[in-house]
Amino acid sequence: MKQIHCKQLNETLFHHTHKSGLEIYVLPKIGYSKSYAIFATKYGSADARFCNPHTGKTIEVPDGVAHFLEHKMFEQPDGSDAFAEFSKTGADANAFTSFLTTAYLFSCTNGFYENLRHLLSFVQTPHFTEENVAKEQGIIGQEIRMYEDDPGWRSYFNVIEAMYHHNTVRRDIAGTVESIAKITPELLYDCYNTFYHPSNMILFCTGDVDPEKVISTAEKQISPKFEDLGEITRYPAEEPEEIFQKEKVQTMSVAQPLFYVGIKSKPETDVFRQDLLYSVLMEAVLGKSSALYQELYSQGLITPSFGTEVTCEKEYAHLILGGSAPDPRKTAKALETGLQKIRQTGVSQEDFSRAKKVVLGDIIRLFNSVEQISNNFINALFRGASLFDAPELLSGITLEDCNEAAKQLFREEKMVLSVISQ
Amino acid sequence: MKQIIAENGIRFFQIPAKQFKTVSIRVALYRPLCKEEAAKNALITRLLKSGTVDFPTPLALNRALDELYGATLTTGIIKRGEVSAVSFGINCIKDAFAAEAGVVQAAIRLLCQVISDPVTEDNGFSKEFFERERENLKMKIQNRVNDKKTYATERCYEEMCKNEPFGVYQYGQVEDLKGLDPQSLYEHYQEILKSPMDVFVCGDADMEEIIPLFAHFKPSGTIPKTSLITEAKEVKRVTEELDVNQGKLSLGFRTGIGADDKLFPALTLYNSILGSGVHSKLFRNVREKLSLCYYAYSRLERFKGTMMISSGIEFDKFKDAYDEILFQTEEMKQGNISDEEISSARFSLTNQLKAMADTPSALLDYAMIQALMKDMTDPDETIKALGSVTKEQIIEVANLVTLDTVYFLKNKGGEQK
Repeated sequence: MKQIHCKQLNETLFHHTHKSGLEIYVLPKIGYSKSYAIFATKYGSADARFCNPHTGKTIEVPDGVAHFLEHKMFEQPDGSDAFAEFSKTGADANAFTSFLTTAYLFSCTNGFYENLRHLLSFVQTPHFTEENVAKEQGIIGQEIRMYEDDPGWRSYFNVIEAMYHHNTVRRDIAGTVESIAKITPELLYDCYNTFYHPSNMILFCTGDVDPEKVISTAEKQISPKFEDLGEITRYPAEEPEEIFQKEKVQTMSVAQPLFYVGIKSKPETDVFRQDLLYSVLMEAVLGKSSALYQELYSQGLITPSFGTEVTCEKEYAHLILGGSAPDPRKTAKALETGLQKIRQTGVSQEDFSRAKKVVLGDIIRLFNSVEQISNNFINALFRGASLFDAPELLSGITLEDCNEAAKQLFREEKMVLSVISQ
Repeated sequence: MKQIIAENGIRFFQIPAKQFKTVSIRVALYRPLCKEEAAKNALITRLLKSGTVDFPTPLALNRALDELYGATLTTGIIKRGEVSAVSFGINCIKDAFAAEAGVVQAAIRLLCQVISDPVTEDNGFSKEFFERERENLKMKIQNRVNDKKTYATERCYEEMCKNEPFGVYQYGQVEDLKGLDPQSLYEHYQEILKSPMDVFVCGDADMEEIIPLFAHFKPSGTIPKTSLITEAKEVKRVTEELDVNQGKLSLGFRTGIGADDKLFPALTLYNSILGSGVHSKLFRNVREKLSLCYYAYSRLERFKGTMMISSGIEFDKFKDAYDEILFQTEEMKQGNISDEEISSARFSLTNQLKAMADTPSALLDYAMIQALMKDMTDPDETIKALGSVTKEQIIEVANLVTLDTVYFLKNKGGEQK
């Protein structure tokens, strides 16, 4: 078991690699009441085409499979559902599927190790049948309908679709009612057997937890039946550098229009550092204390709802900015002009230094929350980095780095606009 | 939680919580929830973020906040029963994590300035900021309709409590914004500053340094009360049509039990068993057994003594979902509640109460609720009270709950897309 201390954050991380390849991380939080565990696999909606290493078969899945699988994971062979065991002690369990990750988690204030055993056990026990697959169609169908009525969600997915031609990030995480109708138990097993192998997974525990106890519990609970899997072959789609379409507009019942501007970028070698760099840049350029933000705000081109999001994964990288605005096209034009001006003038030293402070503050603040610690750590680890590296990487970022990134990013031909309006 | 009453009458609530890396402060000034004030109060909270005497523009104010490692300033209206808490908050990293000293003090000072020292012009608020924020608030109110889930719940309450203050949307209505001007709004703001005031501090902070920063406030008066209607005499049915893909069903109930009632712990158990979590009747039946929905839950408004059940369903499944939901409330009345259901609910609530200790905002929310109670309590006492609740009491509560309003949001023409 390795122990790493981060002085700047005043936190300690324990790490152990199980013989199956499972990476186990424990970050104890002194004085916390909750204990939290998340068991995640590096598999999400973007893994649309891959080779099942057991059968050598290449598989292309309909949209929504990873998410459907997540729902069905809770079915137990005896017909009960995995939530029942957690409910016995009041533990709060959940799961989520994103583009690149599927995770199963729980938090509790008692009985942590029993719950941990249960978490590891049910995620290693797939049970997919015709009947239970059919039953879930109705439930996920309603989940899809719920998202169809969410303009923020629609605008977000539309901006991604506008940026990418083929990259599988553009596929709907939940799928559509039609695509999930094609899901069979066999397909779910193909995906499960490929991706739900301990060597492709991470167990992260934080809160009121004892590292040695976590590791010994996991050791006993990871099934010995997992043979060496080898490398999982994923087939990403070929993606050109250009954007797919300049504008995507959808009509929905909204009062004011919603918009997102997407800026397409491409992953660098160190995507974790790239993420931090872009975060500093965007804070300096469009944070609340930036001249551009306040200029757009005072003209009514952006409202308090405006925000920016940075995404840097090995598979894709982009920025998404937006909110609600009375005239999205006018706002997008003003944003474009403002950002292109930054390419010429660069970011000032003052704005840059202040932006770094804000990003550092955000990193420190997230360590209050067991959920944010776990989610952010898993994101970093799946990208080959550690969240503990963030403070030092951040201080190593220079003004020149920012201005160089601005020159690369803020190009009109890389920008798309997604609008939702009445 | 420790309570200190300052000389000027402000109640300070201290939650030590040394385990957090931040210090969070929340300030509440209590006004009655009513149509006359709603839009004005909401507009004032937004205006005050535009600038202070020392930092007279949004740019200057936000720069000051960002220099404090991105300290976050929030202002808004928190609705608790028929009390409108005009609220302000700041969240700042502890001095131990900053390169400079006095970061937390600076943040709290800034918060106090935001509350009491706005930029003024001609005996009123700045005209420019007033126009900008009025426009933004107008759009926010209009945008209520964007989030259909929340809209369906709020509309049900609006219909249910049409003739009660609770039916007022705490951010006001667009027509209420028209007659306002920077001067008269400023006068109303002076009145707000004289309202009963509570300050909540969560984190490793020195109260002796914080209390003097609030010495210049002069609160007076008493916190408004919330009217309790114990029973619905008849069921109201409302249908609304918008361009939606999914039907949103909201059922509003009167519980007959207020926050200070001795049956309140039994009511929280009732609500948990019925519809609050994966152990609940609504989740197990409406979702898992009948596959009618993705979400179906019940939520209490403890001060108003109401309960709201919400679910998203196919338009043509209205009757099936409605019947099943009412059937489950009938099961509760008949006492068809297993020991396992009761213990799961008890454990779930206990876990939530204990887990609060790990989240500053949860602790602040809990403290704010306690501040409005006749007798304040703490999580351990609440857990004990839950432990004493009997099945008979849960059934008693179930038979006090009456259906008041059924609201259904569906597609125009009622056709399935």
